[in-house]
This record gives sequence, C-alpha cells and structure tokens, in this order.
Amino acid sequence: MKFQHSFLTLITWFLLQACNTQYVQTGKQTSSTRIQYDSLKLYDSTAHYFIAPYKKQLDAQMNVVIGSTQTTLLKERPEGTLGNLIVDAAVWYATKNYPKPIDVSVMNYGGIRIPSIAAGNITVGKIYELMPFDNMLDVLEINGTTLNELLQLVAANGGWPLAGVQFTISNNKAVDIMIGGELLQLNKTYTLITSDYIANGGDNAVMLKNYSKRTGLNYKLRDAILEYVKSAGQLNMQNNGRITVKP
Amino acid sequence: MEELQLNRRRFIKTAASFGAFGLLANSPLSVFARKQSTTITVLHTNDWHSRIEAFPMDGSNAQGLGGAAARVALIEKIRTESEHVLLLDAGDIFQGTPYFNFFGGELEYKLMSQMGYDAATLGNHDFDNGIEGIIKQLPHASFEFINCNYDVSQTPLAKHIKPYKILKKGNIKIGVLGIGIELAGLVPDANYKGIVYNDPVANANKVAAQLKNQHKCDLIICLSHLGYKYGGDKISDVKLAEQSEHIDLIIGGHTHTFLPQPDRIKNKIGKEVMVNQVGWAGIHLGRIDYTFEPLKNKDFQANTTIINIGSNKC
Repeated sequence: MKFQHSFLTLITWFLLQACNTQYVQTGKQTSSTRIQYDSLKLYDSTAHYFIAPYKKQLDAQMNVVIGSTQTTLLKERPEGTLGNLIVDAAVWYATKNYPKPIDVSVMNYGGIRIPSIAAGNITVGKIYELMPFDNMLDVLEINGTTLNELLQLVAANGGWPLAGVQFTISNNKAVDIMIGGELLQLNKTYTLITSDYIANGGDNAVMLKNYSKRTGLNYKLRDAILEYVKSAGQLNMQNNGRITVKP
Repeated sequence: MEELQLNRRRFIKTAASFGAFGLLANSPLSVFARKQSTTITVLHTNDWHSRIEAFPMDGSNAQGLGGAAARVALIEKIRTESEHVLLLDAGDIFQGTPYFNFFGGELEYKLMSQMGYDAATLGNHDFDNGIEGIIKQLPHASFEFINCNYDVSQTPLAKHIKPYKILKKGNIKIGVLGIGIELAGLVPDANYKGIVYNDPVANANKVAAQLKNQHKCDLIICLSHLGYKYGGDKISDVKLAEQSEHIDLIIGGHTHTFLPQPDRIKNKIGKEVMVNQVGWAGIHLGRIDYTFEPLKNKDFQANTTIINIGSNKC
C-alpha cells in the first residue's frame, strides 16, 4: 500500500514535470497566412439573420439613389475626382449660405474614407461611406499668410482636396500659388470653407486652431455632398490641374 | 493557482540543479513530455471600420470581399481545425459605414463577441463618439480592451481598459498588450478629454518585461494602433519593433497596410520580431501559427514558412 502510494506520487511527479516543462518557440513551423474571405464561399446564416433587422432599417434610407457619376471617382494624390467632389460640394453650399463670396476650400485627404465610387448610380449610403464623420462646415476669414501656411501643409502631405486654388508642389513646398486666377497675396483676406475638424487644427492644421473670424454654417459636410449630388443629377468630375507636382 | 505553478517550476529548477532532472529526462517517461508540442493559432484583424456587410458588387476593387457573416463562418471553421486559437483586433472597429452612424457600434461589438474575440485595442476612430460613445457600447462586448500607454485613470474608461491580458492555451501562456496612437490632432479634444498619452516604446517595453519576467509568458503579442511605418521620426510598428526587447509579434493597424507577409525585424537585442497588418475593412483575416516544443537546448534556428492565401489586389 505504501509502495503503491509512493509509486503514484512518482507518476504524478512525472506528469507534473511534463506539464511544467519550459516551452520554446522553435520557429520551425511558424507559418503566416493572410486569408481573404471572399472566394472561400463561407457564410454564417445565424450571423446573417442577426444582422438582418439592422440592415433592413438602414437599407430603407441608404439604398435611395440620389444621382450618378459618368466616371469612377477616385481618391488620389495630388488631386483626385473624389476629393474634388467634396470640396466642390462645400463651395457650392457655402456660396448659397454665406454672405461673402467663397475664395477657397481645403479638406483633408484622410477625410476621404473610401478609395472610389464606381461609375453608375450613387446612393445615400455611398455618401455616408465617403464621409461618415458628422463634420460641420465652417467658414474662416483668414489672411494670405495663414492661407499660405495651410497650403504648405497641403503640399507637405502630397496634396489634399482643394477648390479655388492652383499650385505646384516642388520639393514638398507649394509654389506659384494662384487664388481665383491671381497670385496669392500675403496681406489679403480670403474666405475659406472647410470642416470643423480642420478648423479645430485637425491633421496638423494648427495654424487654423482658435482662429477668431470663424462662422459655423451649422450644416454637415456630408449633407452638403448629398445635396450637391442631388442637384447635379449626373456628375462629370474631372481632375483639372488644381495641384501639379514638379518632378 | 498562479502561485502553485510558480512553486512547481521552482521545484523543478531546484531538482535540475541537483542533477535529478538530467537523470529523469533520460528515463522512458520523459518521451511523454517531449512529444507535447503545442500549436497556437493567432488570428487577427484591424481597422474593421464598421464594415458589417461585404463590399457591394459594384465593380470596385473590393467588391464581394469581407463581411461579418463570412468572417464568423471562417473563424468557426478554423476553430474546428485548430485547438488553440487566439482572436485579436488592433483597433478602429468603429466608423465607416452607416451602421456606425445609426447604431453607434452596437452591432460591431455584438458580432465580435459572437466571433469570440479575446482582446482588442483602441484606435483613434473608436473615439469618434467620444469616451461616452465607447462606454455606451461596452455592455455589448464580451471581449476585453487593452492599452498600456493611455492613462485613462481620470476618465470613465478607468475601470474598463486593462494594460494587458494573459491567456493560457494548452501549456502555453500568452501575454497580450495594447498600444495606442497619439490622439491629439487626430481626434477632437473633447472626444478624449482626460486621457493622457504616454510614450509607446517605454510603456510597451515595461509591460512586455513584466509579462516575460513576472508572468513567465511564452509568447508576447502587442496590439498596436500606431501605424506600420512613416517617413521621419514618427513612432510606428517598425520603430517599436526595433526598440523592443520581449515582444514576439506586433499586430498593427491605423495605416490600413496590406502586408503580403509579416515583416521580420531585429529588436534591440538582435532577436526577431514579426510585424503584421492586414489592411482594413475586414477584407483579410491574418493567421500566424506558432509551434512550441519543450525546451531542449537554447540555441535554435528559426525557419519560417509563409503561406499566402488570397490575392494582393487590395
């Protein structure tokens, strides 16, 4: 009996040893896989039914077609048609809702949230994907010096969506800056339409932060894009040399 | 339990120092111990951005890709094939489709809970509805949020964010820590009020050392929302890897980088760290399998097999 007990203890000890062996990652069989789950034809119907009631609520509003585009709109640098759509929509809305003429629009490249909108119909949902943030439109009256600083930031970032401006990027700097067809004047006042995100200094636009001559239009950038597309019916967006890069 | 295990280990070490370990290791029963290799399957996503449904069939590059229903099925399939699965996310779960605008992230957290996520870290867009926006959805998440370089102690997140999480899979102890990007300039001030950003490298190294030395983790994974790589001095996953000491794998996010295979980077003591990131929107699921074998000798050669499934078109 006593022998049996100690034998069991010994066995237990061996097992414990097995459990407490220090492990080492041999690396020999480390493998890495990136699985793209489209062609796998896997689908979980429980999850599908779980999503269904949410989807139904959204689809009723999101699948509404508000217009179309002749060409596939692209998010590109230094200039792209998707970015041009956003700034053009902002200028279009602000022109109607601000007492002074709008000179310039600047939005951040990172604010374009999808790589493209395919040629064809545009739905409400697609504009939500393009601009999911609830960013509001703000007009700032800024001097040429501040505008120049902002455009230097745009150039350093390789180009952001712009309207009312033309310039060349040379060695990461904005040169030959034209505003409304005239050379930028540092002491002149310009009206800028942008998002509250940028006006708050977002994406390092610190020169705009706490700028006093700022008017909130109390309107979402996304709603301006939605209304612009509705009003245009069919979009024919172009890249028209707002920013060029000097090789 | 923790203490008991430590005591056992100490006991074995003591036994070994008396030569008893060597004797027993050569006995027939030790074969039993040697055979026990363990494979840990690490599955990971980043920057899901509320992409609940697969991309629509509209001719765009990503058409038909992603979608929660497909991911649920894929993860379930992998779980039937692999015993020890870890499921992790590197942040930016929120924002990008009307699902977030209308439901605030509820569905994202619920689906990730159904998939059985173990842990996620916070990305900048997870703050798009403010700290309160996260708190509101947390009841829908059965997984934990980890971050060790945001001081959240003065915010309502204090009770909810842990610096790290330890998981035990088979005989293997895995430590997972979280690292977040500087929120100033990316997130409106009001949305992260009270959170203090601390140095990612110092904090990651501190927590990783704790996981290694104090908790004796066999594998240390860092969930990072710093971004893959930048020009200049900005801290990134690559820079963190170079300056790290105990981290084995950095699962990244933020820059939406599709790495065809993980980067292998030498850390500050010359050891290899893997850095991986699988794009965005749930188009890909990353999978890294680690095989652990009982320690025989300390010098081992690392050979790696990389398997790629899926095209690189995104």
